[in-house]
Amino acid sequence: MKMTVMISALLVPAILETGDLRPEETEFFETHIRPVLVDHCYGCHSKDAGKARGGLRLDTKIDLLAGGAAGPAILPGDPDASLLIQAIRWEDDEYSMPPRRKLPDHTIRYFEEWVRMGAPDPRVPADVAVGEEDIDLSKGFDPNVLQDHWSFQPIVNPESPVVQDGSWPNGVIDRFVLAELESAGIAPNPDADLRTRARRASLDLTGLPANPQRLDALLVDESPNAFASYVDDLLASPAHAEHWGRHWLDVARYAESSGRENDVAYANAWRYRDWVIEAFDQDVPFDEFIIKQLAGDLLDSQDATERAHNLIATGYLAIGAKGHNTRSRREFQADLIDEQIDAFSQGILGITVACARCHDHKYDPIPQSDYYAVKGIFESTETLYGTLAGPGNRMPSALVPLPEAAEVSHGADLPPAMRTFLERSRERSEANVERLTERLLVEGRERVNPAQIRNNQQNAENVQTVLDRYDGQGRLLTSERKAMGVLDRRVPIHSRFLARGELDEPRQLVKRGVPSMLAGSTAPEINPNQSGRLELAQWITGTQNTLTARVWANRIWLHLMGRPLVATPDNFGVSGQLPSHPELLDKLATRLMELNWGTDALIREIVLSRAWGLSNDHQAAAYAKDPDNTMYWRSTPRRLPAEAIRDGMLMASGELISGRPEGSPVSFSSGSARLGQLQAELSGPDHHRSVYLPSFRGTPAEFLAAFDGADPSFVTGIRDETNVPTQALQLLNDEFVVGRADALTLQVLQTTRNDVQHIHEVFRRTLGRDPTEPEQQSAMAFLHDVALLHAKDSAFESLNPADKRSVSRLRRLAPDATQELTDRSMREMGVPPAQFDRLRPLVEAETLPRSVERQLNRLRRQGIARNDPRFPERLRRLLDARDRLSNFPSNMLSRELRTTRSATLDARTAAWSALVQALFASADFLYRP
Amino acid sequence: MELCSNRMQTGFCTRRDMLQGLSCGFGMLGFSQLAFGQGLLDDSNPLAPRATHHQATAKRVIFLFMEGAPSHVDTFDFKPELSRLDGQRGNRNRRLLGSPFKFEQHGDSGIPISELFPNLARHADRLCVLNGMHTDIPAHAQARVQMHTGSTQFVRPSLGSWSLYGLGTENANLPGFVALNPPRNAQNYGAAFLPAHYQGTRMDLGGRRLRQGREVEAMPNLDSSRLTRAAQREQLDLIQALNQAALRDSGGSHEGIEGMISAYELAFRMQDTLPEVIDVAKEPQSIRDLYGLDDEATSAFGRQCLAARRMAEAGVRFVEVGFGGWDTHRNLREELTNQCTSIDRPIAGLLTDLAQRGLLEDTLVIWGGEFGRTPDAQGTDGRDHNNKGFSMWMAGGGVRGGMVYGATDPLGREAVDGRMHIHDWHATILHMLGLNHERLTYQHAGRDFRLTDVHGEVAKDILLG
Repeated sequence: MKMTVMISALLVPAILETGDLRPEETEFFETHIRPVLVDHCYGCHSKDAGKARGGLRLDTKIDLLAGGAAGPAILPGDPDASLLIQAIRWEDDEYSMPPRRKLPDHTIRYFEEWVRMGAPDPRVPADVAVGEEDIDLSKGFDPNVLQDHWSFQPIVNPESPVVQDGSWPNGVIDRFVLAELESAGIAPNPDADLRTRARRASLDLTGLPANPQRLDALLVDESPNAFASYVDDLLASPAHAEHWGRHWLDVARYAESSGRENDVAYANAWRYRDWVIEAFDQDVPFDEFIIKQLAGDLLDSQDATERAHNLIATGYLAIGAKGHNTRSRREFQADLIDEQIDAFSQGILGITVACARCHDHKYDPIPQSDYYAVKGIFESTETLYGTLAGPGNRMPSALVPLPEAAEVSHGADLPPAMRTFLERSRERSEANVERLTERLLVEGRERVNPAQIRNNQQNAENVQTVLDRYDGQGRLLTSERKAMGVLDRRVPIHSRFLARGELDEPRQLVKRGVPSMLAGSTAPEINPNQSGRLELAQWITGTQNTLTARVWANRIWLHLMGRPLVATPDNFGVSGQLPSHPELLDKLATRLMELNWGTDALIREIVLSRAWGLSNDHQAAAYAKDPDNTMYWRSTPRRLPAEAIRDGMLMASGELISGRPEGSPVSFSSGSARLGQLQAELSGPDHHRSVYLPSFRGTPAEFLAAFDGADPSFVTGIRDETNVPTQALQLLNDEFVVGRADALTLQVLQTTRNDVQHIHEVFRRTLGRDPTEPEQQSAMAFLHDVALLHAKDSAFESLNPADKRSVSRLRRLAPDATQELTDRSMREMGVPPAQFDRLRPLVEAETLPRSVERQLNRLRRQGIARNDPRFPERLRRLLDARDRLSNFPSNMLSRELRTTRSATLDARTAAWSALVQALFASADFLYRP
Repeated sequence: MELCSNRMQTGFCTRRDMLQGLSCGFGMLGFSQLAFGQGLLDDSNPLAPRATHHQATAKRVIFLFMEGAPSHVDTFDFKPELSRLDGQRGNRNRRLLGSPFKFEQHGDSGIPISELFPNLARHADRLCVLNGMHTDIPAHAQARVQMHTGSTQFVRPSLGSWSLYGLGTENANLPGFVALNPPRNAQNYGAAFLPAHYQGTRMDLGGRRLRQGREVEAMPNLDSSRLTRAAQREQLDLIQALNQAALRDSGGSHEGIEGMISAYELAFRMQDTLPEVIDVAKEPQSIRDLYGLDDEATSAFGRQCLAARRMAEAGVRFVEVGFGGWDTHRNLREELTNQCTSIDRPIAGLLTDLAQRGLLEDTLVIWGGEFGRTPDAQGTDGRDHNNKGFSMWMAGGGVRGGMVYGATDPLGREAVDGRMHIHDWHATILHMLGLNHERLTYQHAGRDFRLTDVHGEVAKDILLG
């Protein structure tokens, strides 16, 4: 069969794996090593025994090298660092092997010698040929797809189409758009006015609302290039790099923790984030941008700083989601590589290569053997993500050290409060170890779990490891400046074809390479001494590649125009959508390459097109023909991304901290991301731009998640735009929103202007425009009504402090007298008298006195249950109330009692703040103009 | 109080007038009236009720998830052979541990249930005990994720999300999938690549978190910390007026803004309906007794079961109730007794209550943990993880009651008969909801995904009729 022939051509004879063993090496292994392994180890660590204790198998070379849960069993050349040697020396408490009797000393010396020799191992699984039954040809892709499918055809620079209205287009992009519109008989919307376009440009290019002064200046600037130079300013601003860096971080599935079941913190992921933003700031050509992320470590560099940046760039491959608690290292490695292949193939090539892990791709020309060709590249690569072994993390890893001379950030300084926090954590763990050990000795393993002791011990050590990274001033030691990333392994290998993707169904070796059918004659020769990542990256960014430029151009277009030309931006394969404007896409891809892969240059061309600057108004005639705006007859209406909403509020309130924070609070975490999260909380509200917020896969930032922030467990080319009530609840009730409204209000009200002027100021700062006449009137009326309503609440607040003290005193001395006081409070609160009886217990129970708890304990000891008639009535009432409390969402209380955190705000200020919040929550603020 | 003054000629007051009753305070409008009286959303709404693939026997699910893996051989899988061999050497040189708890046959069907569930045992004829369950990985986190999403390796939509995606919701004023005290990892109630409105709404009701001494919000942002309802209604009206104006300015048609306007109204209503549903304070004493609300041991789980019933009644499609503490590596006798005591009466109460309201016949109640435990002792009084065989049960919703389906070997080590993998379990649950697990698909990353991936077989034998 054609396919089988092609595949066997790719397979490598088994000799590659064993060919370089000298006869004496083989003899050494057969004489001194294999018999010991068979007699003493295979019983628990081999396929034949059906066991792999600790995830470790010792019956094949691959398994031995991959190791088990604790890591690789041996490090060839370094016996002292090899777990296997440590285990047979009985050095390690946990791994003393064989468990019953230590091996004789001379045997141990043979093993040491063997590892020192480089652990020559002639054991090779029989080289099973890939059989027909291993490849399900019937269900695979259509062999003609390579010739038939659009995205596999070369990118050709299309002719500019002829249009009827030659005066409309502003450039070549517009000609393609107009030609389609004309042929469909749709008239495009009129241009949006200059103010709208300027506000739109600011949001599209920087993710921030337009600067009011700059906007005013633009509106009076009469020069013909006024708008173009406004756009150039935006492109040159650091905010532009942050906003577009975020677009790439969506594609790069960036996060600072592992996700999956245990969400282990990635303390150094932020370096990659900063690198991406810097790359956009410097407008690094997209091909170079990609090469560095896939193979920065293999590039030559001029100096230590460039070298460091190139290493950091490879963090792209290391930051993916991982299941650190996997028991088998082989499985972990296989999944890690699968994730890498998935991320780059979808993110950069727009194709789902990972689908071919278990079978030939169902649609696209990716035979299963191609998956293993690419897998070999990544199997020859070591991924370093930097986590410490501990509870929930069986798969620790080192990091890539950065050159000492490099000028790179030291990251966040360890704040004194954090140091104290960590030291306490360590002390607590140490105390636990002591206490538990003592109990273990007294009470035995039945009552005390030794694993707890180990976990505490490990936590104490890990926290210390984190503390040791900083000097006395809390600055990161230069030697500790490290990055997540990848490096080539010492000896590159070819990967084994796995039938149905099963780890224990290995077949022949597959030669490292790029996807063979996609590459055709452009397939590069892989350097036999390297992993092949560099060749892969160069092939991906080569001008012959039919996918990369199209995929990136489509992403750029999506972010500016609101809908992509290919509706499935991460899938240009057969199961993806066809482009709505194939020629326009090719034009954009061609321009991208002509512009030396300059992202900003292409952005500029699109933003200066007429198509981008159209109004977004509804137009019945056009809408009837093209409701989804696939022809771009208007600017596509859409909500702002989550980050722009949050950043916009901070900007409006004047609280936005521009510039980049040093590092990330996640750096202080020694284990689970939960700790990192706590530390982020400890360091107080962060008013940097949202792209710098700590990003945990397991617990995404609530505000961003509610507004469809990217889920970093996936490559996210296009975000959802959901419209759900949780978003409304967030805008109505979230403390972040209220806080920004307060801040803005306080600033505005400080100025000595009248209310009408204040209203204008508030509208300008939130919506970038003045209010209309009716808006102004309803704002005035709103302020009046809400101030009245709020005043009623604060009457209670003002009484409350004294009352509260009285309540607790009276409760002690004269329980019955509390009722009167409670009722008085409720009257002041405006609670309808009909509700008094129901609410009274709630009010009282809010401060359940200690003495009640003591009384309860006494009753419990006496065996008097709550339904016992001897149980005091008052107490029962209190307990009922407490039950209701714990039933209730805690915030219900605040509603019922009208206790407000805004007690410090007077009624007028509170009403103004409510107005600002309403503006934040309006479509005008949330939607792109 | 005059709240609606037509000061802008926008017509935005109409809706407000209609809903004005709500702004007057707490509890003025019964939630069920609100829930069913508002009418359901239109077809374009992704949460609108959808046609099933075939006739459904269950309209909704209450999943009682026992986090930590309860021991099957001490609860629903009677193993006389294990008792006979008690003390002899089993796996890994550990001694076999016969169940310290007595089993008795119950109901007309004679299902054996251990003495740990005296109340639940009275419902024996309603239970379909699944004794042939098995799952892939004997580690909590992974098994938990597999039970909830089908996959241990990848982030996939959860069972509740798939159900909601397949069926839509019956109550436009409440979330369609609620997770009460779910496992920590959001994947377990997440929507993954399904659109975000299908994800579970998490609530922490006086459960584990409260016990740790720190009360957390049942659901964030469900109430204004500042404004009274009346003031908030004013604020919302202002927002809606601005939005209506923006809608007009955009030419009168703007899906996003229109969606926003209705989302705001739903959110505003949810602020009242959701706490009403959660609040069990107004239930009569007979119901409090039924769920054991006044007993320290059962009040926590009882409250959750009662809240689950109220949600099911109000039209929530999928409610998961989490209850942890089943990881009995040691102190099996004491811990398991405490655990079972905490849930026995509430669950029995839930089944009684559902039945007396006529809800049990189309509500599928499911009980179980992520795996089972070994017949071998860990120490002398504990059991280790066992993924190869364990028990769950189902009741109501068209499942055959009074039935034991599947079996483990004589020691309870491995499922040997009527084997039901998590994929099969998923397929069966979807089937009862009227969904064909092979047809319930969602396209993502270039292919169609299913809850059951390429697996899953419906256990037809356990279905009624």
